[in-house]
Amino acid sequence: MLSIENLSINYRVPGGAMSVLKDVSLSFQPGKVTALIGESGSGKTTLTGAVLGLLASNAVVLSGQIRWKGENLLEASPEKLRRFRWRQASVVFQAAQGAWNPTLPIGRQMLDCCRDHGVTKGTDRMERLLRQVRLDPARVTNSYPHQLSGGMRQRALIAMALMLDPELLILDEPTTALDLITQSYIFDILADIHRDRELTVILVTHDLAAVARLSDQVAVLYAGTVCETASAENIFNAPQHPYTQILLGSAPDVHGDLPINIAGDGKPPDLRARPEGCIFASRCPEQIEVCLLSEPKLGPEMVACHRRKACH
Amino acid sequence: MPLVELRNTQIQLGNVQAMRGVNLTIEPGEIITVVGESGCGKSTLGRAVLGLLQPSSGQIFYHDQDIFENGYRMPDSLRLSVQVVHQDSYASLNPVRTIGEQLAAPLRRHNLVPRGEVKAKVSEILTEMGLTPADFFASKVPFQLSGGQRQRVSLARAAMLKPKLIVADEPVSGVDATLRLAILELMRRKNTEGIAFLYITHDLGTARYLARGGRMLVMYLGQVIESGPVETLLDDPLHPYLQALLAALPPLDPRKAKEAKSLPLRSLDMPDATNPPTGCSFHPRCPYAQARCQTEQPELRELRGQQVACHFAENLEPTSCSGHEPTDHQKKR
Repeated sequence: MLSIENLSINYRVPGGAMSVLKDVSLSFQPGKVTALIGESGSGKTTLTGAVLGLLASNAVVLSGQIRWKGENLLEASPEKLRRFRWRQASVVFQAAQGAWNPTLPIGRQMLDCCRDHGVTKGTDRMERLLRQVRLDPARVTNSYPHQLSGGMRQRALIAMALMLDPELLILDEPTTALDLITQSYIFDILADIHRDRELTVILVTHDLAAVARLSDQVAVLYAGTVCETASAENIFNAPQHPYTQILLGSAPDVHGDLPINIAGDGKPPDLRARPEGCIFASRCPEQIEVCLLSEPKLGPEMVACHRRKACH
Repeated sequence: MPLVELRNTQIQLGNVQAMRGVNLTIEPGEIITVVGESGCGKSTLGRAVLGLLQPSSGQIFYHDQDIFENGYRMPDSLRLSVQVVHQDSYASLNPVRTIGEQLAAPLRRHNLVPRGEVKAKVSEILTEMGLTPADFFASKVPFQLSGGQRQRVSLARAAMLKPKLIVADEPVSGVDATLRLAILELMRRKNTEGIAFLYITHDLGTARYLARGGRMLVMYLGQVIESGPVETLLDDPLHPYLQALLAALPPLDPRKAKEAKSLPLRSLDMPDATNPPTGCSFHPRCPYAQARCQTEQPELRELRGQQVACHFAENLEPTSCSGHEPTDHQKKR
């Protein structure tokens, strides 16, 4: 249903260009939750921005396609994209980061998104969805965002994203900045929604707990390239790429063995001048000569690493 | 002699009692971690330990000296003995001065090294913090560094004054996951050099990592509700609130994480902090609450090698009113 092929995007910056996505190919299985994990600067937000046609004005698409039901979204007209957004694909941003308009009541904002897409009778649906995310419609619809707790605002955003019954739901750090107990509750709600509606979900996060709880498939991004994709179970139980291994090994748990710091000091790569070889080589504990010379591709093993291929 | 001691300290912020009746002693060289959810008072506790908040009742002592007794006048040596690392590494550094200048300023201000040696000292500190080549980093301004690098600078700035204690309030929450351990390791190294740490965080995993072998304090609505050795608390949580927190933590294993479970809580929402519940402040959410919990506030008491503020910690039995309204997910199980 949704696939990304060889997508490369630059941002124009003073004195040059930053290569934020380089040759990214990914396919999203219908009805499944695919998590995009990676650190700040790994390109996850740019990737979802490209899917929704919401790239920053200094972004330049160098190559690639984003195919949605056979059509290339990168070539779609603004009007077509406008209808695609929310009717077919909606997004839940971090509620903490100003996703709501502070000057309008929640209910008004939820109905506005319907009206804008030509749906006039949304009240019943809104109330049903609010109840589904365990909110009291009578209280929430008349409240301004600041009158609700962070967890309630986030839940109301989830309800709003479902107003037009989309097929694709993008969750952009849906539980970051929320407390553990609230997080756990929202995970439950999202799991319910996903199961009931068979939505295709893209979960963008750096929180491994969210990935374990919700996702079926995982794509690991590093500096704008996909270094590994696999099922959630394989990512957690048998990670292949050295970066995935470091990422998973760096989250101390409350029980069991403590991780040993193998990540080293690590510098984020300079995306204005990508190195010849593997972008992770400078931080990689397993680096060999070939890593500095040629860029590894995501082969049939779905791991972009020279050390994980039969020939090295 | 404890470095810092809070005796029944109360802090009022506006109309909220942000910290209520907290007793805490910090001994030289200790690592203590304070955990809890947002609004529980853990940052207030940190600011109180830093001497930045005047208690509305109770006292704060540095080396047995009440720091607010004489209108908050204390010798520089005491003032310098407690330093801080903030969460927001960008906001805590001056955006228009180089890292080198910012690290040199306190050395000069407090005459810690002879004038001619300041630059060499800054290089030494940067190198020790893994920011090499030191000259390169000394010439940078904060926005040119990553969050992790800036946090190393903040830690360097706090540690170079040779404090007895560093209060670190969420120092790694803004740092990428793979770089967190390296910073926690630097803190542990500073600890072996004799600096005590008060590590404030909502992240139980890093709390355990940094404070292993040390103490943990769990706060809820301004009060300490459980404290003791880190490992003991995590392996044998006595307070129903800590039990719920640990239950809310999804395991880092997809199969286990997807198994539906209901949290041992009657209500998911935090009560209004301006009007905390009577008796035990956790009782409206506690699945084990009994009549006594509504009226009588439990004191911290010794139990199984820890201190816990719960009337019934020995035998927690779910009461008839237990269990919050289950989500669909749980109902369909």
